[in-house]
Amino acid sequence: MVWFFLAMLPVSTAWSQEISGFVRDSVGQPIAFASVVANSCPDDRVIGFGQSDALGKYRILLKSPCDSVTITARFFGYRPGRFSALSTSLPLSHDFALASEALQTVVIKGKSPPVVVRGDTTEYNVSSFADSTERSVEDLIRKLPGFSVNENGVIQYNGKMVERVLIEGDDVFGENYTMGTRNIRADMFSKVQVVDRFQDNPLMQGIRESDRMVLNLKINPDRKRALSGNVELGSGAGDEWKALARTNVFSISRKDKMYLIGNANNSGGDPLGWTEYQAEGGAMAVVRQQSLQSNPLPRQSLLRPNSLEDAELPWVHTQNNRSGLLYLGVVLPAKNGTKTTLSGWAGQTKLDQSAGNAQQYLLGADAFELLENKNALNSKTGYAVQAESSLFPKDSKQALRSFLKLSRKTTLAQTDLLRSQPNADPFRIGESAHETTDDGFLSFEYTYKNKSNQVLQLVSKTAFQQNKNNLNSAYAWYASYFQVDTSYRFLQQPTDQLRAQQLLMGSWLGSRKALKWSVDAGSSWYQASIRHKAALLTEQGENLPLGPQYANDFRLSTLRFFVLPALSWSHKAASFKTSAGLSWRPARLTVGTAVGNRVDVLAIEPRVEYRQSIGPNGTLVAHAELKQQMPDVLALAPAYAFTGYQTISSGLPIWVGQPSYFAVVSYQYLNRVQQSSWQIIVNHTNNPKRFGTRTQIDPFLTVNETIWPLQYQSYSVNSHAEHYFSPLRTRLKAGLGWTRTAQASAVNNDEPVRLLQNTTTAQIEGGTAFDGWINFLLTNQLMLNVGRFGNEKQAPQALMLFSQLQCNIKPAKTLDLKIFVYRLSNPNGGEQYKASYASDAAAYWRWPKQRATLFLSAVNLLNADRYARVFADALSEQTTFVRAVRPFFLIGLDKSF
Amino acid sequence: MARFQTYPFHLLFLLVLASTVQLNAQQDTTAIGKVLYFQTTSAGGDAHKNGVTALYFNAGRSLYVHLGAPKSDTSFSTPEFISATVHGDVEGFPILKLHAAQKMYCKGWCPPPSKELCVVTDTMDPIDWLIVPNEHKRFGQYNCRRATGRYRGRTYDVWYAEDLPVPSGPFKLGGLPGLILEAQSTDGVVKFEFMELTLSPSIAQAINIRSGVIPDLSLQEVNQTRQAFLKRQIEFAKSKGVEMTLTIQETIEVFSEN
Repeated sequence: MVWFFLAMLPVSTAWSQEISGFVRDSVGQPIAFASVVANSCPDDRVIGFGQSDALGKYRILLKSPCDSVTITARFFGYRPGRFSALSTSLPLSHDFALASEALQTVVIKGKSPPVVVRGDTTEYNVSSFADSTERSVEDLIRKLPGFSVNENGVIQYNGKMVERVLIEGDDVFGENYTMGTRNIRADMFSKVQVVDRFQDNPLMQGIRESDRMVLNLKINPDRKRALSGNVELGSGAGDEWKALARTNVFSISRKDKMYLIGNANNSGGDPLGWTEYQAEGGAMAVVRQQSLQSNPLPRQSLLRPNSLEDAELPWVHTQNNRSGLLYLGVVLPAKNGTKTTLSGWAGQTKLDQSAGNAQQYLLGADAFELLENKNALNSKTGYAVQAESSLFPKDSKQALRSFLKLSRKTTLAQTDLLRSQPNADPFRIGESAHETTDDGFLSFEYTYKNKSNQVLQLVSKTAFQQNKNNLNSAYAWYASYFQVDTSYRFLQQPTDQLRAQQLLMGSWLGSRKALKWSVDAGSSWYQASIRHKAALLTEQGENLPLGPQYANDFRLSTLRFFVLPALSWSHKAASFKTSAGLSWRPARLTVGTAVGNRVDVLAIEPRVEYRQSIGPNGTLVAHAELKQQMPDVLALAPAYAFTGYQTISSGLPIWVGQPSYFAVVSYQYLNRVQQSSWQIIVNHTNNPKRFGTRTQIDPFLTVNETIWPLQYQSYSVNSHAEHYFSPLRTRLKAGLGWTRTAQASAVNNDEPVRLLQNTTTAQIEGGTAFDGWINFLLTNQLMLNVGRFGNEKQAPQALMLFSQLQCNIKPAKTLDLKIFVYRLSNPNGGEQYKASYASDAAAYWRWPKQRATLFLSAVNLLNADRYARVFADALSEQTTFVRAVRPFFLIGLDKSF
Repeated sequence: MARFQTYPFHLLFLLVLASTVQLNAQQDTTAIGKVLYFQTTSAGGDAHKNGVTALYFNAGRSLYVHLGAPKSDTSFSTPEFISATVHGDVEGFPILKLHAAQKMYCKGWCPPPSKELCVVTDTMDPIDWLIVPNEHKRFGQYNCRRATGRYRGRTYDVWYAEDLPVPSGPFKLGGLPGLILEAQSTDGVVKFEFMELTLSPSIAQAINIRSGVIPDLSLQEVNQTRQAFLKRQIEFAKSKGVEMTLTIQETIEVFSEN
C-alpha cells in the first residue's frame, strides 16, 4: 500500500499536459506575439501561459491538475478568444480565430509618489499635500513637510534659508521672491523642488562648493499654454468697504516665457513682503558672494523707525492695509546658448494699526510702569527693473554673464503716541520718518574652465546707493534736554547718505588628488558720505539749529586689497577646510572740508571647518571663525544723529577692525526619502556688535547711555526633529531651543553692568498631509524669557504660549472649508492680556467645468478686541498689545483660463 | 599593414562608425502603449536614474526609458569634497526588449577609448514567476494578478495585467502573460510605482535605440571590462605613488561576480 502511494506521488506532483495550436485572425492570417493563458476552473489559478510565434503558433504546458481549464488568447486590437474544457477531455491542440476590434484609446492615471529625492534635489508632488484651498504658492509651501515660512514670506527648509524661488529654472524674481510666492496661484504648479548646493553657473559645478538653497517650481503641464492664468475679484464689508482684484497671466508654451502678476486689495494681503533685508550681511552675505546678483552694498539707513506689531499672527489680524503690485517678467532665450531675463515691478503697501505697550521697569527702587498707546502708519513704495543675460556657448568652456538692477524704494513711518509715566501728565508724541533710497547695481562675470578642471573667474561689481531721509518729531522733553524754551518741542533732521563701491576680483580654483584649492584676490574701492543737521522748531516754525555736535558732514573713502586662499582636504567621509583672508585697507576719514586722516588697517580673518559624514544620513560639522568687522560710515560719523524721536547715536571716529569670533558645532540627520530629520546646533558668538554712543532722551530713565564697543556674548543650543509618517500621511515636528546673551551696558549713567537674557523656546507640531476629506495642522509654541540686571535678584520674566490650528474640511468634491484658530496666552502678562483668540475662515465652491471658484472668507470671526504678547529683558517686563482688525467678510469669484 | 599601425585611431574610428547603427531587428517599432512608472532605488550605483520612467510597447517589443536621468554628464562634489561624475544620456539609458527573440539591448558605460555610451546585448534570463492565486489589484479598468520571482539577486513582487498582453515590464522585468504595472523588490531597495497608462494608436515614440556604439560584448563582459579598467587605473595611480581604493556601488542588478 505504501509503495502504491509512493508510486502515485510523483505522478500527481509532476502532472503536466501540453496544448498547442495557432492564433489567427478572422480571415486566417497568423497573429504573432499573442498571449495565451490557461486558467483552472473554478478557482481561476494560472496554470500555464505562453506567446504565439511569428507564424502564430503557440504551445503551453499546463503544470497543475484541475477539474477544467479555460484557455484565453489575447492580442491588441482583437477581442479575446476563449476555450474551456474538462481536464479529462482536454484536446492536445486548439486554434483560436480572434475577431478584430478598434484599439480604444485608454488613459489611466495612478498616484505620483509624494516625495522624490534625486541627488541634491528633493521634489514634492503637490497633489499629495494640497487640498485645493491653497490660494498662493506660500499657502502651499506652508503645508509641505520640512518647510517653514516667516511673517515676511521668507522660506526655510529644514532650518536652512531658501535664497531664491525659480520658475521652471528661471530666476525671475531675484531676492524679492515673495512677489511670486504670495501672488501666484498654487494650482499653477504640479511640483515643488528644493535644490540644495545650487550653483547658477554650470561651469562652476563641482569646482566651487555652494551652500545656496533654492526652490524650483514646476508648472502644471496642462497650464503650459500660450495663455493661462486667472482673474480674481472680490468685495465685502467690515468697518469699511473691502475689495480685492488679483490676476496671474502666464504665457509659457513657447521657449520665451512671460509672467504678469497684478494685485490690489485692502483685505489683508501684502503682495510684496519686501524681503530685501536678506541683503543685510551676516551669513547670507557670505553665501551671496557666490551669486551674480549679490550686491556688495547692503541697504543701510540712519533711521530706526518703529515697526508694526503682529503679535505672532498673520498680519491680516493686526494691520489694515491698502496694497498693490504690478509685476512683469520675461524670459527671452536666444540662439547659441544665450538667455536674457527681464523683469520689472511697481508696488505699494500701506499699513496702519492701533497698538500699545505696557513696560514695567524693575530696577530696584527705580521700578515704575510706563504705558503707551499709539496709532502707527507704515507705507512703502517700490519700483525696480532688472536684467540678467547669460552666454553659455554649447560645448564651450567659457561663459559670460551680466546683471543690471535699478530700483527706488520710498518708506514713510508715522507714529502718534500717547504716553503715561510716573511724575508726568500723559502727553502726546509724534514721529514721522520719510526715506527714499535709489539703488543701481551692475555686475559682470567671466568664467573659463580648462581641460584639467581648473577654473579662472573674473568678477566686476559696481554699486551705487543714495539714501535721503527726513525725521520730523514732536516730543515735550526736547526743551529740558537741550535746555531751551519749552515751545521748542519739534525736531527736524534731514539726512543725505551716499555710498558707492567698485569690486574687481579674480578667482582661480582647481583640484589635485584629495586636495582642492581656491584663491580669490582683488580690490575694492568704497566711498561713503553722510550729511545731516538737526534743528528744533516751535509750532510757529521758529528754527533753532542744534549746533555742530548734531550735524554731520562726514566722508569715508577706502580701498581694500584682499587675497583669500582656501584649501580643503578630504579623506573618506571626513573633510577639513581652512581659509585665511588677508586684507589691507588704507582709509581716509574726512569731516567737513578739513583734510581727512589716513588710517591703514591690516586684517587677518582665519576660518577652519571640519565635517564628518556619519552613516548615509548624518553629518557632524565643527566650524570656527575670526572676523575683523570694519565700521561703516554710519558707525563712524562723529556727530550726534537722531535715529528716532528719542534716541541719539554718535559714531566712534576710529577706523579700527573690531575682532569678533564665533564657533558652531552641529549634527544633522536628514533622510529626505522618509522625510525624517533631526538637528542639534551649539553656537557661541563673541563680538562688540556696534560702535559709538547711544542716548535715550527721557528725564526719568536714561535706559542706555552706552559707549561701545562693549563685550557682547551669546550662547545657544537649538534642536529640532521632524518626521513624516508616509503610510499614515501625517507629520510630527518638535523643537527645543535655548539662547543666552550677555552684554555689558551702562544704565542711568552708572558703571557698565552685565545684562543677561535667557530665552527658552519649545515647539511641537502635528498634522495630516492635506490630501483627504478632513485635515488639520496643530502648532504649539512656548517662549520663556528671563532677564537679569547685574547681580539683582529680581529677574524680569515672561512666558508666552502660542497655538495655531488649521482645519480643512472637504464635505463634497466641489466644496472646501478652511478654518484657522490662533490662541495667544500670556500667563504672567497682566490680567487683561491673559489669553486672546484670532480666527478666520474661508469656503470655496468650485465649478470645474467653468474653471471657476466662488469664495467666501471672514476675518476675526470671534470678534476679538486685542491681541497681546509678553517679553522680558534684563531691565523690564513688557506687554505689547495690538488692537484687532475689525471683523470683515469678503465674497468673490476666481476664474481660471 | 604599416599604414594601419601608423593610424590606429583611424581604424578605431571606422569601427566605431560602422557599429553606430539603428537597432531594427524587428520591423514594427510603432508603440501602441506607454506606461509611466516612478522608479526609486536606494542602490547608489543607479540612484541617479531615480524618477519618472516610461515603457513604450507593442506586442513584439518594448523600450524602457529613464525620463528623469541626467541628459548629459555632470560632475559634482559632496560637502566632503569627494568629486564624482554621473553619466547622462539624451535617450535616458534605454533598455530595448525583443520579446520573441528573448533579447535585450541596454545602453550604458562603454570601455575606453570610446567616449560615447555603448549599447550592449543582454539575455532575457527567464524568471521563474510564481503567480499568487486569488490576489488581485485594480489599476483603473485592469484587474491585475500578483506574481513573485527572482531576477539577478533580488526577489520582486509584481502586479501584472492579463488584459494587456505584453510580456514586459519596468526595467528588465518581464516574461509574464501580461504587462507588469507595478513592481518592487522584497528587500525594499528597488521600487517601480505605477503612474500612468496610455493605450493609443498615435503614440509618437519609436521602440528603438537611436544612438550608441555597439561593441561585440555582452553586459556581463562589459561589467568585467569596466572592473578591469578601474583596477588598471588604480594600479597606474599606485605606480605614481597615489593610494586609491575601488568601491563598487550597489546597483539594481546584483551579479554574483560582484
